Amino acid sequence: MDQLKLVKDCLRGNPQAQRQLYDQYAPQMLGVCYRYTRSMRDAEDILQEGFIKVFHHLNQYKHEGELGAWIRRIMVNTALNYLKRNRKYQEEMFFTEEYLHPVADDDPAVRVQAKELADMIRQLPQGYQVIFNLHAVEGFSHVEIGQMLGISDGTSRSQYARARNLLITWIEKSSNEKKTPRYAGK
Amino acid sequence: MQENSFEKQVRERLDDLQFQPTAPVWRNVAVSIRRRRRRRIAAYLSIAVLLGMAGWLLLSPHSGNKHENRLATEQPTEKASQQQAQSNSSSNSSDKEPKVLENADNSTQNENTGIAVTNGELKDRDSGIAANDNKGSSDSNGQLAASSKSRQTPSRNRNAAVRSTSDPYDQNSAAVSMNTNLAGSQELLTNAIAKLQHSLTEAVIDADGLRHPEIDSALASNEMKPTTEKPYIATATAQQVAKRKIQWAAELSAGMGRRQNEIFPGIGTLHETVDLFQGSAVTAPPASFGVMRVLPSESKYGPAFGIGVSARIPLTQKINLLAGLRYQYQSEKIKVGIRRDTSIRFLNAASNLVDARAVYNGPAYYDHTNRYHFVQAPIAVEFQLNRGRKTPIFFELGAAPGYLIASNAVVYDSAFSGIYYKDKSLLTRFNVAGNTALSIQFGNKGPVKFAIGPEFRVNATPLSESKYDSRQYLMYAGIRTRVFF
Repeated sequence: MDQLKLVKDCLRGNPQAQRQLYDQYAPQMLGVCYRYTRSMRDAEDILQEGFIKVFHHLNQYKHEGELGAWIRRIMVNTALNYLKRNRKYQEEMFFTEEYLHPVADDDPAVRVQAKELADMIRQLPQGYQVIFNLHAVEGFSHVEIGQMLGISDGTSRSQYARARNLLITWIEKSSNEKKTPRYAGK
Repeated sequence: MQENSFEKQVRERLDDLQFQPTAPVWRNVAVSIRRRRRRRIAAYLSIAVLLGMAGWLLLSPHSGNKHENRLATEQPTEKASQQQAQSNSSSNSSDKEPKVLENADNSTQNENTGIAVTNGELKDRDSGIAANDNKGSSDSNGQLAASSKSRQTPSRNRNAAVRSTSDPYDQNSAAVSMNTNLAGSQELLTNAIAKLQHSLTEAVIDADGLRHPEIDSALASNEMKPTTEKPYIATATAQQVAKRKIQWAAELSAGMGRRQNEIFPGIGTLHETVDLFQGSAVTAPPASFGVMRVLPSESKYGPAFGIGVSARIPLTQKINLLAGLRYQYQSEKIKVGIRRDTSIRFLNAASNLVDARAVYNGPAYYDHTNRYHFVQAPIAVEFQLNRGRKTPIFFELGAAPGYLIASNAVVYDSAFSGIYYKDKSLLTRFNVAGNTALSIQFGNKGPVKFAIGPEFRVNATPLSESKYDSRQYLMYAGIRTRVFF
């Protein structure tokens, strides 16, 4: 179905169209939500809340960009709000002013699967995790991230650099483990 | 940002990341969509009904000069008998009587002008409803078109009344026919409001017609009870409501108010015009008193304000209970005769003997402001109409029981050809007012929230026990501000 028609049908309250829109974007959006949380249950909570917002604000979609990108933006905002108000994440979402941390120049090949990479990102401390997701995956600048999280752009840069270095270390470690046969030590 | 290959690779990898959500997620989303749609329709319905009622109340031809019209038509027969009885003063009174009639006719003409405005507003309202319903179901359009046609009929009748009243030779008969027409048009308007309610109710049914078969079957098979494995909405809502605390607010309201005949047509007491001048005087009228009969004055808008504190108690995420304490000042302007400091005795409207030392008597040329001071304990339920928490819009419906602590109001009595005097024994101390309001709230992110919006209130209890003056219900309309701490 044409995207324009799908949106119009959803706005008319057509349940089939609403279901179709959900089926089309929910798996991808759950992947987005998954990266911001510690559990699949929390990710589904965000997905549910995000889709409720999507259907309620669909009349504000101007057909100027990709519908998927618009929904993704809503999901990211919903995830951030969820993390801010959820006590479990609040304690970890504490950003301290730090000196700029040097970013490693190396760009190692990412030879891990998507799920494994997402799980590594989820292993990062919550502050690192959010900033890494926002900058490396969603493409927000550090100034934008600073405004979204209420921190300075310097803090965002510093936290991102730490997250990136940590992730590169884990990816390299994982790649080496895969390269090395199990019987090598015997 | 300078894109390097690491970020690019991460992004490409994660674009492929997909998971299939579990079934309850969609069920909860679908239920929320349906619930919200219903709530929105219910809110539109209640607002439409309230606006209709408020419009009817404000533009009702009853509120102004009905009393005078009825008496104006009765006046000629009384005049004839009076002329016979009072031969000495007949020339004076006959000079004055036509003036009264002229005034009454002018007032009927004004009333017609008022009706013309009412028609215009009704048309606007029709178009507004049609525009709203275009978004909804097509069936309700047809019904509303039918109801707007039915409204055109009384408008033609009224125009005819206006034309006939403009004829200088037949003004009294036009006034009588206008009263008949008004009664008919009121009935038609009441029917139109009933049709509006009916068509909006059907719109709700239409909206329900868009049911999702999966949800219905799930509801029917009891699958959608709060699940033990994934109680998403139930737990989230309960936590959020529990987190909310009672909010205290200081409120200030300012506007205008006056007295009127009835709360709404058919609701409340409409006093029948008794034969006002049968006489309840115990002493003879002083020589200085005029003989011309003076009718109860029209009540004109006077300034009003309220100040108080209230508590907002959350019931659900979107519904709050409001309770508070308020001081309310209201006033109205009336026309009275000249003040006469003399001692007269008569039986008042409650058949009690009154010894009045100061009364207003004679032609009603002088302004007098009746002031009322109330202490009220308003209680209301507040519904959030829109989404989000940034600038919520609330619709409020409630009641305000109150006590009249002080007043300088003068009351009308038919004794001595019509007088105004102070009689606190006739005033109703305890009263209840119905209250409705809309408000928009700002500053939700800061420590102090600020809400502002229109407020409308009407007393359900008559202001006094007077059987001579039918305008007994205080009405208030104004702007209210609340600051939440």
